[in-house]
Amino acid sequence: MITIGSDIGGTFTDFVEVDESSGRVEVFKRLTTPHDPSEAIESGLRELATRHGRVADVMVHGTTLVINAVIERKGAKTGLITTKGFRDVLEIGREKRFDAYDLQIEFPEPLVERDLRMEVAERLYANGAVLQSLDEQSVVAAVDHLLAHDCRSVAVCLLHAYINPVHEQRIRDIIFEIAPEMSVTLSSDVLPEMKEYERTTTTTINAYTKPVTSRYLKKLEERTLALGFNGELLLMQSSGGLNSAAFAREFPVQIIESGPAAGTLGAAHFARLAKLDKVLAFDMGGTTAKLALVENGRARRTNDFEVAHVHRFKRGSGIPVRVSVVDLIEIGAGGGSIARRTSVGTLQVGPESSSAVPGPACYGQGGTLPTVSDADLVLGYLAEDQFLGGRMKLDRNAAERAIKAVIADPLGISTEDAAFGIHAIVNENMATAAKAYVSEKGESPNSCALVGFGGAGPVHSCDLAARLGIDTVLIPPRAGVAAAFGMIVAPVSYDAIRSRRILLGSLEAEALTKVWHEMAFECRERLPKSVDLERVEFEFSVDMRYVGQGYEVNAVLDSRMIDAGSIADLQASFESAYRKLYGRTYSGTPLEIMNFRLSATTSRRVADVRHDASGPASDGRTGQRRAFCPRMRTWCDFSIHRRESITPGSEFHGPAIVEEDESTTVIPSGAVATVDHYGSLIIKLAPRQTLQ
Amino acid sequence: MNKTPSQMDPITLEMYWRRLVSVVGELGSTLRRTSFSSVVRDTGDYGCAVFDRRSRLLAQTPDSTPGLCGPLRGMLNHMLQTHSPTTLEEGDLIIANDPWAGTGHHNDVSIMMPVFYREDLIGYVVTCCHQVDIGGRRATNESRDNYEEGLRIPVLKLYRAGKVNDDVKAFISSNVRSHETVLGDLGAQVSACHVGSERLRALCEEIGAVGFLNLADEIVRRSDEITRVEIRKLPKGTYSHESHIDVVGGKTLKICAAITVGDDTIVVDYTGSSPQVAPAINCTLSYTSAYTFFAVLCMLDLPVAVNEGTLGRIKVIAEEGSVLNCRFPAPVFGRTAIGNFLPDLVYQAMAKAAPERVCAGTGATPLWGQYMFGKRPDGQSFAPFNVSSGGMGARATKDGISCLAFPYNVGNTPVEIIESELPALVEERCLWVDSAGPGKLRGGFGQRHVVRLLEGDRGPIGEVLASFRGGRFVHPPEGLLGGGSAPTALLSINGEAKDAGNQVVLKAGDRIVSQIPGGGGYGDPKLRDPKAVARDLRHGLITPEHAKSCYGYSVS
Repeated sequence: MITIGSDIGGTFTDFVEVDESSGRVEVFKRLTTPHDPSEAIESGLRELATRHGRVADVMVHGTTLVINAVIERKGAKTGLITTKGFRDVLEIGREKRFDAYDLQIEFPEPLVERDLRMEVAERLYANGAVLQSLDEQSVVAAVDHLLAHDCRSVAVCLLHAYINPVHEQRIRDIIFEIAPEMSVTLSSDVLPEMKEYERTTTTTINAYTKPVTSRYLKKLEERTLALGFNGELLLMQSSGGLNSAAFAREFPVQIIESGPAAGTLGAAHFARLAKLDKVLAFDMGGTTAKLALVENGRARRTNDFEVAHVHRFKRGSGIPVRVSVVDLIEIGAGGGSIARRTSVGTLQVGPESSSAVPGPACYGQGGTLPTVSDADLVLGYLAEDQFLGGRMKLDRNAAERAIKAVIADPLGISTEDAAFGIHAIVNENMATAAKAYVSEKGESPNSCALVGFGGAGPVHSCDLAARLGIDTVLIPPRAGVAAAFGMIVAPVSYDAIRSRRILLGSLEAEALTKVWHEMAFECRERLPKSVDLERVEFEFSVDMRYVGQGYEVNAVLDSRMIDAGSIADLQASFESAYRKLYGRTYSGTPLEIMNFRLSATTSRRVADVRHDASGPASDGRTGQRRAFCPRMRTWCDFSIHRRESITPGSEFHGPAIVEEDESTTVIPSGAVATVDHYGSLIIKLAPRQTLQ
Repeated sequence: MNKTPSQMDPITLEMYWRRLVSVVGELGSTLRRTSFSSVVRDTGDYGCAVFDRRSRLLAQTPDSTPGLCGPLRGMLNHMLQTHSPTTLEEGDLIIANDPWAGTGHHNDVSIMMPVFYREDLIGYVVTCCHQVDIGGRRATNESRDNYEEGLRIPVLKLYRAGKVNDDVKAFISSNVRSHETVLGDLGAQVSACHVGSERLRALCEEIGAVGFLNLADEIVRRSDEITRVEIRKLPKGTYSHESHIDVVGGKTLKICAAITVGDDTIVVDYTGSSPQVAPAINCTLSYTSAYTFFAVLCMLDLPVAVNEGTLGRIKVIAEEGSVLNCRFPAPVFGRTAIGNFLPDLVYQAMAKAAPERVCAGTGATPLWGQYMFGKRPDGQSFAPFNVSSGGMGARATKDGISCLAFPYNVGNTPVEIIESELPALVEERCLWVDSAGPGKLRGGFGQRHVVRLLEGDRGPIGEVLASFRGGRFVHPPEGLLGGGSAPTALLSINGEAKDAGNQVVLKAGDRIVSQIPGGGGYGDPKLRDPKAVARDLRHGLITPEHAKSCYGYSVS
């Protein structure tokens, strides 16, 4: 079976093709075609098909289409239908400031303007019982108004619909009677979860992006069909799982940000093959770095997610989207992050970054602001003639000039010190964020291994690891197309949720069984038709908290059967999760359930391609050059190795630099590196290799 | 001054300065998540701070309520007066809650840990948390003096050299309601102190105790310098304003400020403000100062986080015995009712001097909230506190934000959560039409919030004891520089207008309407872009009459 993963990025559309029968792995890049992204997909597929005279069987696809539509406000004209008295939920939000000291604060404009937010007469009680039945005339009037204003899509979000969808469903039927072409999204379908603001924003984003997603997928299917592809098209979701194109068409909000999830999964895959059970996946690109904790091959997930931030790195400044996403942190730290002198005379790096044009000073495109890449070049980590496989020549003089003029001279330090300062500060920023992120999960960074990828990740991985007290670093093969690869190894998955606020003490086994079956049914309905339902694995978990506390902790119920004992198991599971996070539990305090969750996954057959050494052993060494050792804090000779020439099992020592087309790995002195049989570069840092 | 030049290079400084800021962030997030006090969690009524051995504030949690902007220094010094640094041992933890030394009321309990590195005292970690209960009368503004407001904890050692002082714990435990929760939250503060002290020690492992002191010197010196630079951008002079606050009982209080921008200081003088009052809404000077620091720092928009250096050039003066510097034993529990107004007052005064740095009066001040105590039909009792905010004032180049907490930072509770907790129906939570103060830039809109207690088997068992917070019934949020005021607020029960602040007894079927004003406008409304007026009209946020009378805009 041949599987192709394709990931559309800002500049490149990446392809990875894996043939399970032969173990062949092919990597391919095309320039992204922003006017119609499916065009690049088509040309890439055609190229791969002609290479082998065979079309793929499965295509896995990730796209930034949905998030871009929200950020650029290019979705459909959308109306909202809601309960009388609540048309302003989107605008009132949670009434909190995300930055306490900012008097010039701003929030994103709601996706639906106020004159398209329609109220209908109906009302449910909190337990779902009907207080006032739906006034269908008010629905007709609302739909007429929206039609008269050219709305193409409607979001329906009524109070308490998460527990009883009857009015929402009736509204959908009425809309279809009046306007059969209208795209409709019900909150009870997208997110049957309590809390009306977050449910409304999530429903609205789904409605807003549904027509554009549908159009895109249709075009993509037409193009691939024309190439003779009649296999299955799977879409990468933000949760790190795959689902069908039909599902994505109905629930585009689920694929809102798939790239980071996919990259993390790719990292997790190679960590699993290297038998590393707890890793920090570290993806550093041009503008940001992302870090995610992966345990036993599974990335942690969260439902606390926002898009379209007013301030990219300020939580609370975006639009909340309560879908399952890989739990990662994003830091304004990338190769293009700009270094500057602050008004208090210190050196700061990022979060602003130079865009692709003019880019870092060393790109020679007229950039004069020093960036992380400029520092990496001056420090000898990057080679002037090896960047992007030699396709782009870097200008070391320009990098030095920028660092000297903007940083070194104003701060009164040497250019080399300034360059290392930039490198060290960007690493420290990432380390600080990583420590906070990992410790909030009740873990400690030094119990993890670091898996570094992305264009700039391998340059910074070892120094970042040292700052975190981590001693093992893994750089997976094909690090430049990690996301496309991650799609190939991702499982198929669906996550169901039910909000039921109830004291644990009042929960009956019968109710638990009922909610379990309800969610299991939904999972089976919404997984791709091709999935063998017998092989689906379920994980049942419950969001719980102590009565009086405001944060829920997710307790996993590790049992196949729901029975009377499950409730005691739930308490035990909660307490162990709580203790891990906060170091203690409260014996006399009652527990309260907020949500039930059921996650259904089925792993696809994965290409665990093992390469055994053929030919003579080699460490791939091609020469040496001067570079600044981050550990010894001095210039020394680094041996230079070509990644693809290193045979599995060969060992070499730092200081060394491993070059490949898409990235460069810096290995400090004292470290030992090998390549394993799956192509991963594994580096053991010297013990207690911490900063002095 | 005989100071040795600093040995710290700009890169090391940046790195460790950030480290300190992230340490307090780490302590804060743990405290927030483990606390049982919804006030801690939702209003940010907690703080964690680190100090050097000269008790200079180096970093504090950034998302703390404005009332915590600075006063932990005062609390630390108060503690050190009783237990001088030379008598402190490793593993000591000091506890205290004097409102005059710290954050203005008893519920805020501070715990301090001295930090030792290789046997030398290098600094202090202080945590402060609003406890769910502190004894005395329950959360009320009706206490007649400070003694009625609960347990006064003198400066005591909660731990001596790592050993818990059970006497102190027992004493607290027998004086507060829900003592398990209170002791649990105090325990969380103790753990946070330990983590903070570990982090400071780890930092000293890297740069040494002398390096740490150098770091502190640099942070304070450079922050002080940048604060001075920003102050010098303001035109020198004295700027005044006088505001009126309607408080419980239909009384009006006066608060006034004369703000003198000097060469390199800002002096905020509240002389002339009303004398302290009988209701428990008096501010201690430390609390008044905190809100003033907050207001001035927002206005200065400094590129560095709060520390000793950013506070040193701001001086606060208030007459002893006034509502902004009350004398012991004045009751102080509900001091936010006054303190919340100080940023508005400062901005009104400074508008002419720094028009682009301030915002118009906010409808969110004072905080609006509903306490309800009673029993649900299933016999469970309920006691939530749900907050709603009016609109923010307009800024020089931006309209105000609708329904946004300011200067406190408390979010609302989702209606679906409220209704799953209370035997009530929220009938409306929407923007209040015509509630924004007009201006070239208009205020944010306020909200209309309607709650009805359910009846019959869905209603409460027996009566519901309620108390409402709110204000602006007489004196509306003011506009700036020609901008108009927002309307005055309305609170009504079953159609009858009510004052906020008193306890009331509600029964099934009662309907409470709150109309919380928007923010004040900024600049002459006649100069507003007609397209912006048209948009508000199209959105149904203003009526044609409002458009005509405030903006001279006619619907053609």
